[in-house]
Amino acid sequence: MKYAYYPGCSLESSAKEYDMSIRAVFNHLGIELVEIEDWHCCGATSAHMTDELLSVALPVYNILWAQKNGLDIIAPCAACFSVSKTADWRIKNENDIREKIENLFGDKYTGKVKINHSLEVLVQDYGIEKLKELRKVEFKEMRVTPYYGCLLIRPPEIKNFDDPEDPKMLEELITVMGGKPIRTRYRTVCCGGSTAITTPDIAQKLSYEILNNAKEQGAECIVVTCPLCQSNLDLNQGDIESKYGVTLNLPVLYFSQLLGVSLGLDPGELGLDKNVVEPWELLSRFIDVNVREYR
Amino acid sequence: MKYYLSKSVIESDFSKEVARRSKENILNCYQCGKCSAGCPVNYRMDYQPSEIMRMLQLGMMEQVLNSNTIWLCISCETCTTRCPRENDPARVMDVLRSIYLEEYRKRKVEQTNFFKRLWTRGLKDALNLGSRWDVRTFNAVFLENIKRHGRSFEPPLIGGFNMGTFYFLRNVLKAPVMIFKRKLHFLPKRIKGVDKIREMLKKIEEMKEKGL
Repeated sequence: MKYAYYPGCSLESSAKEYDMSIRAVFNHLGIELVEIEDWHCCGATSAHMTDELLSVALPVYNILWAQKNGLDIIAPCAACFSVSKTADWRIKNENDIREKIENLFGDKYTGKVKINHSLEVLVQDYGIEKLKELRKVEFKEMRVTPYYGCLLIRPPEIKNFDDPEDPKMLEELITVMGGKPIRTRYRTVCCGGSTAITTPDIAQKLSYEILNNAKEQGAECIVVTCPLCQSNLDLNQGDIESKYGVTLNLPVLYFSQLLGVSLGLDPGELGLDKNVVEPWELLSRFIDVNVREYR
Repeated sequence: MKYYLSKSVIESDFSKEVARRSKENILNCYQCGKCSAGCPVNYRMDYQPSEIMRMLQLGMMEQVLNSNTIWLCISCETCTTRCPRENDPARVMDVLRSIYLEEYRKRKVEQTNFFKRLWTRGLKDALNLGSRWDVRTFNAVFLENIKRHGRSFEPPLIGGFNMGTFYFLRNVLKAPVMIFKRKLHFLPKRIKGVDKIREMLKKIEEMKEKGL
């Protein structure tokens, strides 16, 4: 299995651990990832807030590269995945946008490239049963909350990714790793997204509700799929604790990091030392970890 | 609040323009309220999403374009997923933002009186330094960043945003953790094909001028 890999701007800097863990896990499973040559930013929230044509045109160069090389794309960042998939859908289904894109890029866009998120590739295309066979560490009785966020599952006509109100993919992954999924009603509610920078009080309130609810239901860690969600829930945890007067101490891990530990990979390779709320107390129950190496 | 609508407002072209650009059937909305109920930011909005749709049906351009709703929308698409008429309020918000930016450039946005704004929304919003200014500045700085490097480069993004919103030390306490964990880079990585992107952006501008 070979895919074109579209990391996105966050995976190069503030979400470096997501990039490291995805590459390590996919390498271990034998899936080849070819990074798109000279890829550029997808525009994320800012492009579609400013102009619709800009948000559709920006991802096209990256998709054309994959098209030229005959590969499907894996985009681990939920924003890049969302923007690329929306652009693809609009070009295929709306004639005036297709005409404008043909005006800008010529007649080259065929629409044959499938844009995937790393979670669906692992659970559906690779197969969850195969992951169970390769499991080395079983997380017995670890209570994990899945958190999907918005862009992965909504709107359903475009994303085609599980049920928009009651998704189950992360729960399946957690069960296969041996843990116990704690399903909260906040698992599909927005974390605030880019308002963490523009209007931080909104992001803090929404993230507080998600974290507090998870803690009240007895979760020991949260598993996420989007770099911005992870940043909102992890980096801001200290601020949220002092603003609302609660103690949370909930490690926020990427699903690939947890999966990597379950497959027996080294925690340093998975970037577990880069999470702000440290997961060592939790993980030392299941694996031998020399914490001093990572501090 | 009471609004007195003149005939020219109700018969204006505004709702048709928004319906055409967003390709949504705005007249279809029967005000069930599911969008407003599901919106995570509804507590901060001056007009709820379903109220904005109703105002669009009535052609109330001034209230809609001056609201803070269109800038607070985070495009989580909860409204889109739940609308029983299969409308896409998030896309309508996108279109309204584009219309605001175009009208603002042509200085055609009619703003409500300064003292009325001061009374209803406070000094920061009256001076236009509220969430609208923050969101617009962030988007402009982000896009400028892409134009310059091809990929988003964090220090000038955050620095530029802080300067533009006159809150220079915002989030500055987060920087040490990020640097310590080696997640923040200070050397820009310009992509080789950055000219390609600049050319495309220029072409998009030209297409918009021609009215395509």
